[in-house]
Amino acid sequence: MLVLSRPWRIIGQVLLFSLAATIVAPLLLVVFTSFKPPNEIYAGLPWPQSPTFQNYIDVFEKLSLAIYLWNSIATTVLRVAGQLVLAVLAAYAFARFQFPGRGLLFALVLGAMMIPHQLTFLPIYLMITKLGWFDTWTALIVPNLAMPLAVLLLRQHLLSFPRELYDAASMDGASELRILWSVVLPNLKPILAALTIVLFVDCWNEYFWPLVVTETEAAMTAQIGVRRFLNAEQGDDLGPLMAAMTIVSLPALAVFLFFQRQIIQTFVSVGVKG
Amino acid sequence: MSSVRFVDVRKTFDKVVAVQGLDLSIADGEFVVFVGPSGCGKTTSLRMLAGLEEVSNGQIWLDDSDITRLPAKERDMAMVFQNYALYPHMSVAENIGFALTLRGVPRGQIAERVRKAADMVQIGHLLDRRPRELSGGQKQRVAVCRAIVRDPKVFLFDEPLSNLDPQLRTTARGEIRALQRRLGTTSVYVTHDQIEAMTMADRIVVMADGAVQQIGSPVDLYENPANTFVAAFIGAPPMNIAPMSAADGALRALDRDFGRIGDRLANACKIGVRPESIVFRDDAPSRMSVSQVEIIGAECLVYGEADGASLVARVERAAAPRIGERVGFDWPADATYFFDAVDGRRLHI
Ligand SMILES: Nc1ncnc2c1ncn2[C@@H]1O[C@H](COP(=O)(O)OP(=O)(O)O)[C@@H](O)[C@H]1O
Ligand SMILES: [Mg+2]
Repeated sequence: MLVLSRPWRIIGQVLLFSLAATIVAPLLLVVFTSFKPPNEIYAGLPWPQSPTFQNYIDVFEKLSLAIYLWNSIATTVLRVAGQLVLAVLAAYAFARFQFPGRGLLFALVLGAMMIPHQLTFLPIYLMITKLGWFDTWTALIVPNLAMPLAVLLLRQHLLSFPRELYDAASMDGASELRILWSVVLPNLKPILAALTIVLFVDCWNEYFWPLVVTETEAAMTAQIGVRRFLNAEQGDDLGPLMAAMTIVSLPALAVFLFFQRQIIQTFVSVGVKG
Repeated sequence: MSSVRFVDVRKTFDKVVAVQGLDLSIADGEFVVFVGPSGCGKTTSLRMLAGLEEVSNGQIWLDDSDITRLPAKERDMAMVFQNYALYPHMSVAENIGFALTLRGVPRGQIAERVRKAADMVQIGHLLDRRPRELSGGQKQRVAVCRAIVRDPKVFLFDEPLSNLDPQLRTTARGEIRALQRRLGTTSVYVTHDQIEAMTMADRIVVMADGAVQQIGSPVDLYENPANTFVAAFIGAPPMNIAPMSAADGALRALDRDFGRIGDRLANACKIGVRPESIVFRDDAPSRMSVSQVEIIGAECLVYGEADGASLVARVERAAAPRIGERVGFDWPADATYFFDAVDGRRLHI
């Protein structure tokens, strides 16, 4: 292992520390403020002097945050699940089968990765409204199901998968779907866990698209819902806003911690065979 | 009952011809070995029989049905792979029982059959392990066990022993053959090792460059090689092949006169002598300069040069000359093989 000399180590630690601080400080500020009573919000001290849960009670009573959270969680879970299923199936086909147009189709998948959302959102928006999907879960889930990056990553993984394992399973009498399910997927756990984190966080933090296609409690996500505390005329209601933001950031954190453990465990148990 | 028949089977990958025109009938219960140097098309032939590789041309028959286009999973054959291809996430028992699970065999019955098969190859104590916790020899047994548990129509082996160390390989080949005799299952076995082929096979198929060179029993191939390729491939060490020269219509090779053996043979002929046919005798006309002597046990390998050709002899240790000596050697006249110098075909004179 590379060992740095003492001065460099200190410099490095100071650098990393300040970097981490710039990221953590605003988050802490949000959490602290969420526990402040209204009269302390604009007071000088960053942390609350007489902490209160009132803001948290308010967000559920005044705002029905629960409904927004339900929309967020349900659409995110469905979307990520759908993305994984589609990506696995597509990657398996690209990695395992010879078929006419395979190269062209894969090039299209890669090409789709290069097109920014800002270019496609308007046509998709128009399509959604024509289909009558405006302000529904469907509008949040369906247009995002195809995930080229996931297809690419999984395909690369599958290409390095030993061909004999597929062959052995065929000889054992397994159908292609059965091979995918019983032989391939169990060996893809680490990459699937990593992908789940990326896809979940990506979806959970999405702001622009839900803002465009949702309007009411029928589909509006928590990320958009919390905006209701921003009110230009009566002034922003910062305490409940911060409380809502704190709550909204928890699920992504939970998912990260859970799947990160999966990844590390798999790498540990596979990695020791050396 | 399961016999296998290849009818003019060909395989081309883009422009590479991997197998050209394989014709072969394998009887029920027979143990056939495909042998040949790396890249000669053995694995491709086996994979076509397994249904893992499409056949470009020709047919493959199993008993009375044409299985040329039948998918692998419906052929009821079992294969042992060179790298064993055990499922890494399954225990040994799950690996062995996977095929039975897929067939919907009841759980209790699976456990019983797995245990029985595992006992047959002495891995009963390993059933709860994962493949990564096994040694190479143990993995190989698990792979064999996975094949036998299903009682398939045909066993296919693709160099199953080449990742083992030599001692283990010797015992394993005996065990595989004994197991196959006991089960009576038709088997096709691929190897690049001629000793494995000679010791295991009922019949050997020698291949080179995608083409069958000769098909026959081990004794057959040893005594009657069809061409120089087979002669030089079978036997350890391989047969000595030496050029012939013609002077005034008289043929000579290795300092020995062969008289006039058919005029058309002049210049167009090579001779072959097995190392074990050679004896050292001072009054013989042929002379050999000994460059190296290797002791392999009761016998010695004597390397040297004679009449411009390199030569090896296999003799009793006591009969071996010393390095640097120039000695006379002889061999029985009926142990001389003649081959066409151009295409290597065996000539019967
Ligand atoms: N999937 C493939 N694509 C292209 N060429 C192949 C493929 N598999 C085998 N070959 C070629 O076919 C020939 C025979 O290969 P193989 O049957 O594996 O030989 P062996 O098992 O006797 O060593 C070789 O020249 C090899 O390069
Ligand atoms: Mg091979």
